[in-house]
Amino acid sequence: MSKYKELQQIFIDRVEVKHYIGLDSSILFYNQLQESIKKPLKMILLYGKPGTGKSVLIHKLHHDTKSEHNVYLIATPIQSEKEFIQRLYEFLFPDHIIPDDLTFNRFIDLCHQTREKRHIIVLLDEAQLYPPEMLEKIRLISDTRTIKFVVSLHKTEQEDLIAKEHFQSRIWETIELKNGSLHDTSMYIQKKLVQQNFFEIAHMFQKKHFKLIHQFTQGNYREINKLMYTLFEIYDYYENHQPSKISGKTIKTKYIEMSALKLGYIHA
Amino acid sequence: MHDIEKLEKEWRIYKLKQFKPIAITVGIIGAGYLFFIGSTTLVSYSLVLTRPAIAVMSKNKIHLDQQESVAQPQKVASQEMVKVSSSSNQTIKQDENPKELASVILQPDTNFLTSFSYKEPPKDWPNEEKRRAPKEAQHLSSVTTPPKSVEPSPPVTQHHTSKSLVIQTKTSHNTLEHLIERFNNSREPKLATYIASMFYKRKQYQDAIRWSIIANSLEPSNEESWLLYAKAKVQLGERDDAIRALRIYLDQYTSKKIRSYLHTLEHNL
Ligand SMILES: Nc1ncnc2c1ncn2[C@@H]1O[C@H](COP(=O)(O)OP(=O)(O)O)[C@@H](O)[C@H]1O
Ligand SMILES: [Mg+2]
Repeated sequence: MSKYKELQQIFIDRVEVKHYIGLDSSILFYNQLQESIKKPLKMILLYGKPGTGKSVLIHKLHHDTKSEHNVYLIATPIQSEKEFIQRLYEFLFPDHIIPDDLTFNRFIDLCHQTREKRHIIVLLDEAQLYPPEMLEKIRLISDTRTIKFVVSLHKTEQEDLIAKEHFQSRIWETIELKNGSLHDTSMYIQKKLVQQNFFEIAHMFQKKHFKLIHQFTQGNYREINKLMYTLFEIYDYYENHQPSKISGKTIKTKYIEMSALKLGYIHA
Repeated sequence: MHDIEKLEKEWRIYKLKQFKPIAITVGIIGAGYLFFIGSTTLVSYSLVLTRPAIAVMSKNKIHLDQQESVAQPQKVASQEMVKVSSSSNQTIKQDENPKELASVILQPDTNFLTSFSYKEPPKDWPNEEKRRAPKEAQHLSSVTTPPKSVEPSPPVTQHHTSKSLVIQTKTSHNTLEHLIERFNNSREPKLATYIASMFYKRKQYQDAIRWSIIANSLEPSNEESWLLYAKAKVQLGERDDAIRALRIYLDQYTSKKIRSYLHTLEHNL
């Protein structure tokens, strides 16, 4: 694969623990989250706009703690209630076979019975995709105190509505993830490049480039990924067609702007 | 013309627009400056008139000449610049090569969504169901990462491309496998929506739901992904789920399309 194609790959959106980057903001949120799950809470709400790193954070937490805390992850929302309860049953009683007649009420009973013996933490990513009835049931399960939930959801224009309706009385801790600072943006890009041994490319970025990228993306990691992907797509094109256009020692502001045009941050 | 070249053109327009206000300000300042020079020369001329010293006058003339000689090359330079840029456009046009157009795979250009007509993918395309990762693995991977992209180097993808290589003509660029590969490379929510709609057309409703959820997680406000989700749910006989989803959407956003579809569902139309 050509160099710039490889560079594009680095900035594909993917949630992989091994590519986790400790940024000022992410470390802060991570520590907060780790503290929260130790507390005797029923639910923890993790929310923020798409692309602020919720999934990455929750996967990292799962990866780091699953051995010690009995932490389980449901990364893709399960749409059917039956399947959802079965999954929780598997988590709670790993050595048992799922009974055929497992209903919600039966499961609540089991939770009460096992309360003294076993506690687990279940991480629910993309929780905005669960239907309200399911969220209500999740809440009831958390009331048994056998399962503690970390619920990650998108912040929407009416995020309060979701929070109020389903959780307000139960959530004792909320962590809001925000876009990164300019410093986070620079660190994110540099660390990503260095992580894959692209030292010379990392050196091609200067403060003004980071400023511009931050200005376009507002420090949203998903947007940064998109912009960087497009930037290297442009570089790849010129390398194959007009190499003289990318011969400089630093990144050309022009190509960052072209990427921004393509992604619709600015308009001609 | 290639996308990137189009983009470069667009960028020039963008820069030109950005440059306009600056050019106007520079122009005003420049005019002011010339006016100022003009008036000082007048003053010096008047001085000359009062003082009969020819040397001063000639100095002024020299000064003026210099002004002109500085200004002229600038004009020439800007004319040249215009020429250069227009000629580079021409060279770009000459570069345009149909072969390259076909071989370079780009990040999804959503323009094609409107112009593209659905083509049945090759028959040997394995059923989505078969390709699914084992249950556990699937749930460990995130919703924003469809099964294929979870793997560091997607062998599945390569397998598909090598299989379809023979039939990889211009039109096959938009087959489902290609779109999924392009999505994995770009994470473009519109593309995920489009993939969902293709699955829907093929009556693979579970897959349509899965892809509409992926699209939704990338762009929650996109009404199309909600509509597809709802329609697929209806096809599976899960009307209540569909209604619920559309109500959630309308709680947060406004959409005529969704409102009317919800109305149809609620009234069993
Ligand atoms: N701490 C981090 N380390 C590495 N990559 C990150 C980090 N935070 C965010 N990203 C990148 O940003 C993308 C979006 O983050 P994600 O967790 O999916 O956001 P959200 O779940 O809030 O929508 C990820 O695919 C990943 O590439
Ligand atoms: Mg996410």
